[in-house]
Amino acid sequence: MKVNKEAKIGIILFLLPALILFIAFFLFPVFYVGVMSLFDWNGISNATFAGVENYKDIFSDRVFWTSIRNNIIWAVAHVCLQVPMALMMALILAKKPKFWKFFRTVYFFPQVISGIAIASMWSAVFNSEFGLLNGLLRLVGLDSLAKNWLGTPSTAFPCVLIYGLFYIGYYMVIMMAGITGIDQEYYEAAKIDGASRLQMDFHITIPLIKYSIMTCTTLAAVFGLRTFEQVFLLTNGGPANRTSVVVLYLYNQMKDNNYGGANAASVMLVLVGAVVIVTIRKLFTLKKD
Amino acid sequence: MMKKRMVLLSLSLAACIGLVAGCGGNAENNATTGSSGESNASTSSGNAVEINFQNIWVGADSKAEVFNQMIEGFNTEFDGKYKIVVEEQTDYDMYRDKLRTQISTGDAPDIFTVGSYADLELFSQSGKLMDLTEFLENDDMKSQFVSGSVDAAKVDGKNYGFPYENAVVPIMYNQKLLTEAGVEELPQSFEEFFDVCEKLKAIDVYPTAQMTADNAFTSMLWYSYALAACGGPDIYEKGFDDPAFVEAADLIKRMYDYTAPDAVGGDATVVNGHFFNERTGIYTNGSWILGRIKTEGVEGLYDNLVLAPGLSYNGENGGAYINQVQAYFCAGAQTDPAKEEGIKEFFKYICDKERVTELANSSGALFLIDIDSTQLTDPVQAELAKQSSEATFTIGHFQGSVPTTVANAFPAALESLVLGDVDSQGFVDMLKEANE
Repeated sequence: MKVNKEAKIGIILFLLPALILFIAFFLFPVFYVGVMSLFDWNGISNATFAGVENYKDIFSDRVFWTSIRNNIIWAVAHVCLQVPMALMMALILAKKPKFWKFFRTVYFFPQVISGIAIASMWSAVFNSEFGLLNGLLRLVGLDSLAKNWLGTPSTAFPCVLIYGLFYIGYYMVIMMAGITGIDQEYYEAAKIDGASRLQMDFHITIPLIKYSIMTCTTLAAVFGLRTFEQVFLLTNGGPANRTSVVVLYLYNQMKDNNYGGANAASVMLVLVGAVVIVTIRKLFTLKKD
Repeated sequence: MMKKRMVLLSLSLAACIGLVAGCGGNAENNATTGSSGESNASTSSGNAVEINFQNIWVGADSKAEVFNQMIEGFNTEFDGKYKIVVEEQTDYDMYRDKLRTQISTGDAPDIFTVGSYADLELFSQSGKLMDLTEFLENDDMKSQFVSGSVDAAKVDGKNYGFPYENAVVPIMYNQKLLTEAGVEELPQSFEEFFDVCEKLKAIDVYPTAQMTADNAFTSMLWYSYALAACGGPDIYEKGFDDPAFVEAADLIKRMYDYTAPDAVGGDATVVNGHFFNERTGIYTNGSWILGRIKTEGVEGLYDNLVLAPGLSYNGENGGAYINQVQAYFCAGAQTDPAKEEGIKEFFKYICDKERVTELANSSGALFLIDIDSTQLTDPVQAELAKQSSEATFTIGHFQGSVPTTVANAFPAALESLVLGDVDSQGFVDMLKEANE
């Protein structure tokens, strides 16, 4: 389709505000962080060029690799648990069963509550002395299972991870919107051919909302990679850095007045994020081919 | 249709222009509205010069009430001339991050406090802090401070801040619980201390409360006392290769056998909650906590409080007291003489001995203002001042005596130690690594 000159100007003018904001508040900071990752800077005095020293330092830091590993687990857990759960709920609720609006609201509800409030709630649940979880265990006579959930190495990470699994509402809504856009004729034809509801879900709905699923998968992976507040508020990376994530790692570098190290960790996070996004897109494209 | 398109184009263009204009800002306006020390003009309310103060003594802090009365008193006394505008800072860690960002971006607050000499030294490098050397050398200011304390706060021969609150840290025992446990005498050594812990444990009381969250403050204080006992008064000068660091790590690890199950990951609220509610019998914290023990502790707790200095180890280095500057007052560099004058007036006001005596009496905190200790009305606080002055030696706490990176590495290293990831030598190695 040929676009005339006037329309081109219009497109440019409409794109311009967002573009300026994107350059000013995203591209430039990312570029600046990249440059500053090559400098030794304590945040106060003048920065001195350090080459790749900051990268060498973080690569030789065990906590950095623990953080990367944890972020990957977060991303995988989000993708493998949140997205399928959200898809399942979307498939059910899109059929508009009784109380579907109520359940849609309920599943979306955690999305509108402040992360701090939810973290406080979970912190209260896992508290070893007065927490709900230990209280329930003691109530049913399982005292021996009561423990310091957030302070025990084997349970701290799963406890923090479980927090994120309730955030399925966002993806569910995206997928429901995708399902709503599917032409009903496909279902009518399938019904005439004798397809069951499950067959319709697998052979019509899911393939036709593939791009919604891809969007949700990408978002879930990205949210997993940039996880911070849950970990910061519940364990602050502990016990012994076992639940640390990259954003927390770079925050701690800043606390140590090591802005060069923090910037190097940021660059690594951006790179890992880029690799994950490209991989997800590639996987979905491969399936198409 | 064409008209509609033109309207949309115009609106879009206007949005772009507005955006660019917004980014550009107005230098003239910025100069009058910023609270930065680099600002040329005073921020004023009516005719009064407004002075921004980032105050950490708010909320549940034991000094909050009287210190805020002090601020109100200043504003009343200098009504129409100066006005202190308080910005409440309730989270110490967040406050420190915010402060560092403000200073590094040239937006130092007019008045603020820093919690350690390491931070004072770091922020002084910025060139954004007011040089208070001459002001503090005036006789009327000099005479307010405990001898030598202002000089000790100098960075490269200059005072960019002055010491105010002093952390005097006793070991506190709940006498009622000790009696119930059959303990007749306070322990003098770590060996006796663990015997007492056994007795408290036998009556289902957690002997000590520990924490590893945030800066692991309580455990850090215990480690400081262990270091004092194992290494003596000059332990921090000896460096991390001194065996005392490993011996002290052995002691702190052993203490975790005598603590509540929520110690790993626990924060100050957890520790205070245990002691305030008599779930734990032995505790350590700065003198500022006395006010909170009095008001928030269970009935009778304050009366059952017995204070003691540090313990000995292998018969050596007993009777020490942890003594560390807890808050330095600083100011952002000013180009407005009226604001600079106002800041100095405020500093004079809050250093007044009578006012500080009232602050000390109300909160339990102790200060580096040279007040008459006989004026301390609270017997526990007076006892603390007495014991501290009679200590065999005083020593800074670990957090305030090591580089920031080491202090920040302490909580995770401690967790690794108590969870068995590393032994005591491994714990010290983690600290050494942070120091490199």
